[in-house]
Amino acid sequence: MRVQNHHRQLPEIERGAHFIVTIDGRQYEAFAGETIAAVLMANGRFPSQPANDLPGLAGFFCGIGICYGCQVLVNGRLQRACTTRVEPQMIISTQIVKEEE
Amino acid sequence: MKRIAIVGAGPAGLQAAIAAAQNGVEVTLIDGNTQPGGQYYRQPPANFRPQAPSKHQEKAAALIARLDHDRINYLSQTRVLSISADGRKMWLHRGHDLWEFEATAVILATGAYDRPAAFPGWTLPGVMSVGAAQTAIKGQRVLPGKKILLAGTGPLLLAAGANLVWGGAEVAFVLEASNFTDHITSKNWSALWGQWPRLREGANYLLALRKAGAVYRTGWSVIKALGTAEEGVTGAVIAPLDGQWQPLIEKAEKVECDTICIGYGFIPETALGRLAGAAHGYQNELGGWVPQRDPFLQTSVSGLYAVGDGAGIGGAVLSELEGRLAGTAASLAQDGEHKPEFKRKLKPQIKGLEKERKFQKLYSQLFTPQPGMHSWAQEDTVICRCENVNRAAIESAVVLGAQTINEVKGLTRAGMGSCQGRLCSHLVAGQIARLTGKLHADCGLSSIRPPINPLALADVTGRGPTIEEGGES
Repeated sequence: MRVQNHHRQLPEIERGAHFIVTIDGRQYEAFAGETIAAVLMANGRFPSQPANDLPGLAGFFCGIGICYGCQVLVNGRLQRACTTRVEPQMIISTQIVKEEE
Repeated sequence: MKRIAIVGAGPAGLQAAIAAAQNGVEVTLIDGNTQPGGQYYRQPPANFRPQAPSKHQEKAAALIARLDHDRINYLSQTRVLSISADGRKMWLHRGHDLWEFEATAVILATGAYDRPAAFPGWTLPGVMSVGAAQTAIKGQRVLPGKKILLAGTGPLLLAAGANLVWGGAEVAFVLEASNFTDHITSKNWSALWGQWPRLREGANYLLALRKAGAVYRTGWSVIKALGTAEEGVTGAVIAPLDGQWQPLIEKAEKVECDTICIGYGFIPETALGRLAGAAHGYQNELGGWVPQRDPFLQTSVSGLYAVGDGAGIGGAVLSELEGRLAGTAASLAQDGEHKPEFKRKLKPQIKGLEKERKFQKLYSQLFTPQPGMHSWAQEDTVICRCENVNRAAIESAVVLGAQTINEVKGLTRAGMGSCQGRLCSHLVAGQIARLTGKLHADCGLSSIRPPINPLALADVTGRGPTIEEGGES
């Protein structure tokens, strides 16, 4: 959920341009400056990733780029969801499965 | 011309950069984030326009504005993947580019991250670090959940809880594991004297939480997260702890929540210093393994300095003082030597650190994690998230004779994944200590090798990025 109410300790902000990104085949509204993890949190939560043999996909945890648990495929490349900012037309997949050999 | 590289643009790194530039040297400030400020001075994205910045944001902006200096070159979104044994040469990575960078001196201001605890269910979606919640709310203006439980130790719990309340979340519980008021004694209480702004800040957070109906308890923790992989967290089991942080199971309670944020103090980020071969020692009160430093904050490697939380947890104020001192000292040093006249010049700065260190010491006495936290994990509880290694596997390794983090790593792969043991080293050591009776300090440190962070092979070979394209070649 995006913060709606405004408290003087957490000053109001005006979000900038918004656009659509695709995550796991679904379209989400996103605002410039948001991270992939923030877009997911704004719409629920970072999903669980399928049990597989790929290491390092334990899910969103540290939120500051240390643990690499939230890596997702962004246009085919592994990126940390917590530090990577969304861009228009991004195709993102959280459900990374090892391909059959 | 002298060129000083500073790694990390948080409070310590910012001050180091400003001080070094003022002293006439060329500065390259390297930071992994999109914007400078680190965690403490985290800025909302430039695309978010704050309507009325808070005092803290104004302070951060004023400090960051000082980076706009002829002699400061600031590199954002740049990771340091390796450092040479003399501490002067580093390998940097940004986007798809990988390059070598040489400096006459390097100041490490790498900061720290939340210390996790491993308990059943801590890998469920909805369990995250307190820092993750802080970043979401302060940096991104999103709520990590609707009904939140915070557990851990230290004042950040209160700050994060208050911010979540101000952002509109329901904070059900704030569980401080330490019965910290018990640790204030006739010997150490005087360090609190003069800390009024800090005490007032803490009281404000607590007041905001109480007003919002949050339950605040000391000497309690979460010991189990309830829920499923599909649904995520649906609740928690919480329990009072004894002085060693062993839970009193008979007094445990089941509570409802959809999000659990945990942070049992902080772990200094020391990978680069260790890779350069700087001597490190175990100091529980500073967050674990920290570099040994001279009065100028130089490590055992000449020309390599370490400052701020990455050199021992002490908070933002101490970090800034250390950054300024090391930035000045590194600029004045000649061939790695600090001449006596510089020692005189820097004396006031060194003295300024002393009062702050006194507070740091008290803080660590109040909020030091206790070994009982390693009893919360059950046999099938994951200890190493990256490589999916559970407690039973670590116990088998210990039964086979493993006595150190490295030996457990060799037998189980714990610590060999994407985070390179940053999250689990402490947890693995805790399990070894629990099983063998050894001290945490005697469980060793995991050896560190470049690259210290994951790197796409395509960036090394320069063969371009994507996985799909890889299939065609």
